Amino acid sequence: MLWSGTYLRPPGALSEKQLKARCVSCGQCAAVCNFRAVEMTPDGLFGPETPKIYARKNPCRLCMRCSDICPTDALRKVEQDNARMGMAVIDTRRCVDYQERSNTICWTCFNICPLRGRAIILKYGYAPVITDQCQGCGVCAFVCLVSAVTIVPERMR
Amino acid sequence: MKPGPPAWRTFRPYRRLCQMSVVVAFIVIPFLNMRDITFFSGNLLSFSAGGFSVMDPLAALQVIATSGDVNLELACGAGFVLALAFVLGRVFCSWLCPYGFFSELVHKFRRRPASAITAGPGSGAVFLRVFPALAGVLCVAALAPSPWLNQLSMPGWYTRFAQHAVFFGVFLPGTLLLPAALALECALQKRLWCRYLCPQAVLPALCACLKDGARVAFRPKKCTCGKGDRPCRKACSLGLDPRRQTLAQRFECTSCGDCVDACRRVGSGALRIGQRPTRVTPES
Repeated sequence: MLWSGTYLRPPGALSEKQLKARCVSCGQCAAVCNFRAVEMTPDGLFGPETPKIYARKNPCRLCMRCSDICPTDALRKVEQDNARMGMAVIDTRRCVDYQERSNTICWTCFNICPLRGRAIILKYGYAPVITDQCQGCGVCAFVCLVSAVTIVPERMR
Repeated sequence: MKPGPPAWRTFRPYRRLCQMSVVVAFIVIPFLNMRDITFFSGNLLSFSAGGFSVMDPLAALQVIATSGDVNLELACGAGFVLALAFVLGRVFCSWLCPYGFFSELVHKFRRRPASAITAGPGSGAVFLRVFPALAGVLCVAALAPSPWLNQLSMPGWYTRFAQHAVFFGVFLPGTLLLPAALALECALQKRLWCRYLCPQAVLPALCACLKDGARVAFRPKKCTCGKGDRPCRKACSLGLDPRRQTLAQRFECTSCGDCVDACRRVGSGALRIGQRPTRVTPES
């Protein structure tokens, strides 16, 4: 309520408004998450706790257990392909694969992506590019050695 | 005084056992969840056991009001709780609610009887609390984007406190509402929160007075106590008179069974928990 921003939400969340309307802070999503990636923190100062994911700290692996268990459909039951948490953005000034005359082949994000070969493809065979298949789970942002990836929580695609 | 029935024939020990299991269970469940045992998960706002979910009816109502949409799991979960209140009365409040347990304890160990506010127990005035709760739901739907009345759920805070402490190692400041409400009860009135303020109790209470399921039933013919001597009334932690059978009484009564125990101890057995006689004719 007070000072609430936009956060990366677990898979299956609708708009920020709908998620807040439906979430009853029961914490079952956090309880079943295999990787302890879902954190329940208060919205603003005294607001109810809602599930958030901090990708750089502990990203979502798209195991989809949270959206299966949510009793109020704040997180709807969806397939991996339809998680729609957000979108990864690669900062090409930082990404080593984009640097001219660099002899480094990294592809860490490409190799780790749960939707490998679909959400991240290698343009020209070497430069990682995010496609519209990206669900915004944040694994790439977590593994990137030079912090070149940012997740934009943009669910209303 | 006649010797009462043996302890195992009274409600009290079973009720205390139930309450204490809930108090302990919601500390243990987060630890189990941390070890990937997730058969039980959630808190007293919404709880699931092996895929079957149970839900605070007021939380469900708020979700329906704010999102404008009902899903089956939510309706079943809340419906189950209301059905329980329908069949057995407000048993959640007296047999399961951790806050109710603490509230009873506070008054057990407190000598001075507190009653500054004397809105007569069992009077129709108790129905006034329905309006703030429902107005709250409307406010939530119209103004706040989230089910804010959950922030007033004492059992909710108790169980969330454990969850957050175990999962994330943080202390939720809202947990302080628990001691605050207990202190308020201590200072002002016995069982103040449970009787007049708890918004979560309103819907089950309405269900409990809708129709006669198993409730405290009084058979006047069997009663051997005089007008002044009322052990049942003394036993009631809510200050109700179990021998008066009004609608407001049913709204307030949590079916804890203390009055029935007290009645049995006297030996008359005029009070019992069961189907209420539909009509008491003067000659019967």
